[in-house]
Amino acid sequence: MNIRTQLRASTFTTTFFLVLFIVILLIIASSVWQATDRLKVAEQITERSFQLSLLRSEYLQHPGERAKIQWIGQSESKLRLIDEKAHLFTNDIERGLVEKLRMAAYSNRLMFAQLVRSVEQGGSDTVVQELSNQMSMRSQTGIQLAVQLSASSRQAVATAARMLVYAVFVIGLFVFIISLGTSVISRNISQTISALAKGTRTIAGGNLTYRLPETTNNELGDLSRLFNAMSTELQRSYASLEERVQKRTSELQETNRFLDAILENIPNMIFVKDAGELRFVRFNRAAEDLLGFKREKMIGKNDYDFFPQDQAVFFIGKDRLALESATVTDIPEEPIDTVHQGKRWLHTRKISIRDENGKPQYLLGISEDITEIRQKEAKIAATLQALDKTALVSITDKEGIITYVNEKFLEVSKYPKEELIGSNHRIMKSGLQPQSLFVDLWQTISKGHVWRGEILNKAKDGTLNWLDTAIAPILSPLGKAEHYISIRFLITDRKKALQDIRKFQQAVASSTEAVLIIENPNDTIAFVNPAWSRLTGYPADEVMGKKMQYSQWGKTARKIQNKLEKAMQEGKPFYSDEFVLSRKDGGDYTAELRMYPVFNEGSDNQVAFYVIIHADITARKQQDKAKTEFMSLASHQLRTPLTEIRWALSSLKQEHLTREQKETVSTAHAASSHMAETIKAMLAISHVETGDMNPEPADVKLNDLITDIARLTEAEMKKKNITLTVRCPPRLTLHSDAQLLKEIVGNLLSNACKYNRPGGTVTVTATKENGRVRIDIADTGLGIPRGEQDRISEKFFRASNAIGHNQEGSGLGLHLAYSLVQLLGGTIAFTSDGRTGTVFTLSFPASV
Amino acid sequence: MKTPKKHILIVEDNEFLRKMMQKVITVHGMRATTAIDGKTAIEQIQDDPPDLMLLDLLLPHTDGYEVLKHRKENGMTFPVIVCSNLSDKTNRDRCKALGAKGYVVKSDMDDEQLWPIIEKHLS
Repeated sequence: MNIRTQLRASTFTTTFFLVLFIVILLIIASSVWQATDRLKVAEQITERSFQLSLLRSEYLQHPGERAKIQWIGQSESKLRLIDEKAHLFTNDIERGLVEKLRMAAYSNRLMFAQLVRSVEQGGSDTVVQELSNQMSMRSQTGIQLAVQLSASSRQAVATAARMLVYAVFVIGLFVFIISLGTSVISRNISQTISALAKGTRTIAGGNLTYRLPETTNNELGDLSRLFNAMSTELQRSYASLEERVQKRTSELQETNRFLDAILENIPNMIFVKDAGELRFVRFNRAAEDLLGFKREKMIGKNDYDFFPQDQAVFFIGKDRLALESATVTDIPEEPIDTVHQGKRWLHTRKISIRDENGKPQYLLGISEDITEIRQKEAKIAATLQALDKTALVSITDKEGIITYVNEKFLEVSKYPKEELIGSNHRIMKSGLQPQSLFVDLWQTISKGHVWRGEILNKAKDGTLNWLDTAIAPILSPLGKAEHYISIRFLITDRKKALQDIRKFQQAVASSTEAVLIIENPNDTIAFVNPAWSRLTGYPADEVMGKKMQYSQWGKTARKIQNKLEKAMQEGKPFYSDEFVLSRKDGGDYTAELRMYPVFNEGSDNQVAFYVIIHADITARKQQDKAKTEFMSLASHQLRTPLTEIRWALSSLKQEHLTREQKETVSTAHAASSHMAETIKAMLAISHVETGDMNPEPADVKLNDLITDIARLTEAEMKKKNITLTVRCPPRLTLHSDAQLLKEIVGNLLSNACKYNRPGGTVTVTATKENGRVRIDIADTGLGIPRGEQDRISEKFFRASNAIGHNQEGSGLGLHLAYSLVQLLGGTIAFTSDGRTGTVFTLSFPASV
Repeated sequence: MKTPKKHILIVEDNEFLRKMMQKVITVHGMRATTAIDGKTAIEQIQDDPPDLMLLDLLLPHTDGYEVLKHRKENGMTFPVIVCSNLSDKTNRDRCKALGAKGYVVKSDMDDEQLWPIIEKHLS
């Protein structure tokens, strides 16, 4: 049975019984009350009956009016009492008793009236007595009746009272039962609620599998079932929630991975620091790559651990600012030292990441490496600055009215700024160029294109200026030209130079020697003349602007190629007659080649281009070779008999001869010596010229070398009484070819002796200065006439005063000396006042 | 005790020049022996090694180079001055490589100029 029904039944029963009990109680109470009333009436009746009996006795003893009235009054009261209260007695017995009482009272009154009459009429005592007895008997009966009535009433009262006690007992019992039932129900309810509370606590504790026992079939059972159903539902929903949470978590992880991947692959350096001590907590790959530190190394540390003090202070300072700021802190430029890339420049933005209370939690930093941009910007700025210094810049409106000019423009145009601004650009027109040029210009720029050309402008003072001009329209957003910017370079000088160059080109073009011009440093062929094309077989248009093919020179001895390359690098001129070049058809030819570097204007080391001139000397070389072979052979054949003659004459000179004979023999001996010298010089020159003379440098002790040579001229010197002085530091060495040096110095010393005056002096001085060895050979001889000094090194040239000096000479010695000095990389020069002696100065690099 | 005379071997096919050289040497108190070709020269340096040798290059039968080679191969150390009328570098270099200490062109000097050179190489 359900609790509701139970409770309802309990309430209903309780109420019903309570009402019933109250009614019963009321009834019982009413009957008690009535019984009490009746008892009272019965006792009053009894009492009056006694009093009537007493009053009658009194009356009989003392008849009188007063007694008579008292009795009658009493009797009347008694009768009235009976009449009035008779309805109270409902039960038949009592009602019978009351009726009898009433009858007795009435009969008593009648009898008392008879008595009174008998007394008052003096009736006999007997009659009176009789009457009195009867009355007494009747009275007795009446009392008895009254007592009976009282007893009856008393019994009724007792019964009612007993009933009341029963009723109270029954009610008490009932109340006990009710409260017992109620307590059972409430205990059931409280137990269930406790179980529910426990279940709820258990479930709240996380154990969703907990179930309540479903014992009863009432609402509590229902409640448990519902609770269990709810738990099941909860468990199910929890499971579903878990599944959802898991799904959501995995989605979140996926999202995180995605975000991580983005973060990792963003090319900018991204880092996160905690807001407290600014230690790194996050670090992406770009940051690793840039800084050269792995994140494992960075995370948990701060800037002081990685960067120089000044940088770290700067970074941390900006971090603090960014943390306090509500907006992005932008650091347009900051230097940072990296491990692999040296100092880099960053553009960094720092952002404070806050919690829900607005308290900074993290610092997010995003840095972009702007090193290259910065360099580019610097370059652009420098370019613009350079442009402003070198170019004439002006801006006009679309009608050609000048709105801006730079300083350079004013400088060249000679106009004051006030005059130019607001004027039309055409005021500077020279009028010397065809109108069609300007028509083309305007057509081009008004269509939004850039016009490029050369304009001849007239400055305020009338100077004509050629200007290499570029005019570009500045377009409005709608694409219409609103302004024009012109950038001009003054090229008057260049134009003039070009004209000169054209003349030069014409000259070169008609030259029979092949001319090649190579641009430096890109090595492209800038020019070749027709002679070059003829010689090499390559047409000009095939090679111009192309890279120089040095392989054409590939058959030249490596040593000579190296010398040319070195000369080109050093910007020095070069000469060789041993170049071997290949023609386009594959044939080779020997060339005499000269290279001259041409420097950039105003520079003495920046080569602008190389001019290479060559001529085919194959035929000449072949002739030279034949000549050399012939010379070599011929010289040997000549020398053998010459030696015999020379030695014979030399020996003959020692004999005792007549003066005349001696002179003859001496002349013949001198002639033979001269002949030997001539042969020697010719051979040497021949070797130099054919390139067979290859110096072999070694460390030469100069003092020994000079002494050796001096020994050979000793006899000659002695003859002319010439004093030779040698000043040479004993340890002075020179890295050069000893044999050739001997030839050079020997020649000069021989000349110094030969053309000296008798009793003159020859001084040889060797010194070392600035890495060069200098040898001066000074004589006190004839000197070299001024007018002939330029020709002194020519082959077979002999100074006019030497010829008249009665001295044998071939004009080959100095020529040979000059050739050999050049071959050894030295220099030779002389000073002579033309009358009193000559000083020849040799200079050689002391070492290689 | 008198020091023994220095011994100089002259290898020269031209009889006149040979005699001139011999004269220059003997005048200066040295002992001079001669050979007219390379073959004889080799025999002589074997039998009687000189203190110095004057050597012509172009000789009959066995030339001066063979003599130089022989001297070098046999570990002889006396100095050799080549006296030739060949003056080109190739020959000079070849002689130098074979151990010649000096090289003179005969036509470029007088007989008496020979002595200072001999003297230098003997010292």
